[in-house]
Amino acid sequence: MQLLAQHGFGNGGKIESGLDEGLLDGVIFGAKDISPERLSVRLEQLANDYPQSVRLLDPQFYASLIASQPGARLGSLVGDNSHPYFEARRRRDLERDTQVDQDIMNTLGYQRGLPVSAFISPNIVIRRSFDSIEGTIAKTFLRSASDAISIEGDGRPLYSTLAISAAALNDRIELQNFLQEITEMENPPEGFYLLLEKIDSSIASSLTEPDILSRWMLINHTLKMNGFQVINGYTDALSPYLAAAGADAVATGWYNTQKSFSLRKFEPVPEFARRPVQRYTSVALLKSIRYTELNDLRDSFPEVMNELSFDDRYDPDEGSAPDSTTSEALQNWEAINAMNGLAVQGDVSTSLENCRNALDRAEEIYVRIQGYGLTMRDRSSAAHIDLIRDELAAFEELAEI
Amino acid sequence: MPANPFTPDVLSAAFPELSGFGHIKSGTFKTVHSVKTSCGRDEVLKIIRLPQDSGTDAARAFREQELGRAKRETALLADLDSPYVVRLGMVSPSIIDLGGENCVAYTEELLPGRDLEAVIADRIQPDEADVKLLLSALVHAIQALWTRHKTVHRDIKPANIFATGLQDRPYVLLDFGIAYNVDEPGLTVNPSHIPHTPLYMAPEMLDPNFRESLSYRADLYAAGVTTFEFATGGIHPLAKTGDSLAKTYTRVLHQEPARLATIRTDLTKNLTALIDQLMKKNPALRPGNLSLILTQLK
Repeated sequence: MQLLAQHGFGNGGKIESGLDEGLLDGVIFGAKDISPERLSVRLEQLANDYPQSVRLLDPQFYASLIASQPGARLGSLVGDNSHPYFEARRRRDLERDTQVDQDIMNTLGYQRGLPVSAFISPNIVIRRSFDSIEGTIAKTFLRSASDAISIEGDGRPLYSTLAISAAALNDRIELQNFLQEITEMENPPEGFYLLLEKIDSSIASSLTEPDILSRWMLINHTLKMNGFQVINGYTDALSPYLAAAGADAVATGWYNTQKSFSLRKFEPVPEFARRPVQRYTSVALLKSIRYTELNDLRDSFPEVMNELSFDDRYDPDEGSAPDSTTSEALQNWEAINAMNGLAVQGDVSTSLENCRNALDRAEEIYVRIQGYGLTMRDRSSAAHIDLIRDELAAFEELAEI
Repeated sequence: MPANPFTPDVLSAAFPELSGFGHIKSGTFKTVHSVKTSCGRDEVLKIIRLPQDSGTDAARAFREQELGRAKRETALLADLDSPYVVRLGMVSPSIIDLGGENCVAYTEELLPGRDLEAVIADRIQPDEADVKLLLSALVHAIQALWTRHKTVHRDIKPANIFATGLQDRPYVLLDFGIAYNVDEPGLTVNPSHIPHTPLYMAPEMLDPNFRESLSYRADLYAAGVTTFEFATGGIHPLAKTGDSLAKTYTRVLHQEPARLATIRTDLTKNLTALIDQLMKKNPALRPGNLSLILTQLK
């Protein structure tokens, strides 16, 4: 089970530190947040310094459908010094197979010149329904990418982007038919780069709607059963459940926009984002909490602490605030690795049981915290526990386990 | 009700290049005889009775359906090149009048051994290697059907598999009469009729719109059920004998199959898990990468 850094704005050496500390297996660069020159240099450095690392580029082509919106936030995807494959597209453009083929060739051709360890193909987000024009376009991207790699490829593996909005998962039958179809492709890729788009507007990094996590797990499980490698982007604290379902790799970053996937980060926004309050990821609670909450809890409930090496970056004498955003990122990666390790042992059934046991332990701690009179903020509360329990049960039913 | 076999006299007159006619079995429309060809080779003569044209549209359509199926079956067999699929014999398919009945007739190779149904009836549990041989042969046959021909057999079951005892083709798939090419127009006259054998039918085939998404995974399901039955010495993963058709359909759709590992504790976990996975209700959960399955079975 690999953990990758989901690159985004404000790296500041976090990825290199994560690799140095053995917390990360690699990185998925986000094209928006790095210029072509800088990307090339960074990839070269990583290839030299960490030759075994996973080095991927998310081309973020899915932003092409909103690229023509005034005020769209596209960073290095557009402008004079931009990645050359990216263009604004309308849906009608992509209804033509020739346009899709061309975009794929351009995107893969660009990656061929970079020391990435594998290719990631472009795609759009299926935002409403698998049985839609968007669904059809997405399937065209999937099929054509595999064909194109035979021309543009050089032996490095291909991961096809499969980006789905949570809303599209509502129809179980459509999802199952879609999965059947893509797992019967004549010329399949080695794996999938799976993205699940949040539909609510909260900043919380977990997907809290019913029937979302279970179906995301089903996609992982089905693809894995069919011999594909599965890399999940933007997973953060949901990582252990996806890992239990069969994911090969998960990725998360340091800001909220790198912890859950949403096209909103490309869309125009009138307001300025506030700097987030720093957090501590607790393995025992299966969740991150504010550093101030950590400070309130750590003496009375020491089990909230992970007893891992980056705990000491949250100094009680400093009110348990982490000493830097890099430390916060490293602590999060360290905790997610620990959670994944607890979850994934043996087969899927055993891993799910491990997850359930971890949820029981977390619930027991939350009950004691509540009994002590401490109230956790919404994003730190026990609200996830019952939901995830239900989702694990729903996944078991869907996967016929 | 099985049709009456043709007499050797009728057959000799129609097929002067064949001799030694021996009746093997008869179905509603199909009759099977063992024969010797003029080259001295033992083959099987298959005769499919075509419905008589009584002049009504329905009768004509039914006759066209049966004729079309026979043509497709033989064209498919002629083009398939797999040791795990029965081969056509000396007599090419043709429409022929036999004792006043319109029929399609052709020959296939005569395989040594006996059908898997008879083997299973011995109630002997095979060893792991033999279970793998059977499943591997079926997956090879499914791959041959699908990869080039986009065809689903739709009737994989013990009675349609021959256990030959041959080293290079220990199990051979027979009877492609209801095979369905997903790229060709359907032949079935009655849209509500699904040709199948209920206990081996993939659950998705009970969906009225099953043809839209039908794929080789329906055959993988039947291969899983068949292999399970073989491995357990005759225990069907779903059925109790004597169930009504409606009850059987309910089981196919909703009942969780028995887990092979609970019955054959001596088989490796990888093999029992693979066979169990082939019997999942949701086709997408059945492993779709045929080459990968074959690798796992080595």
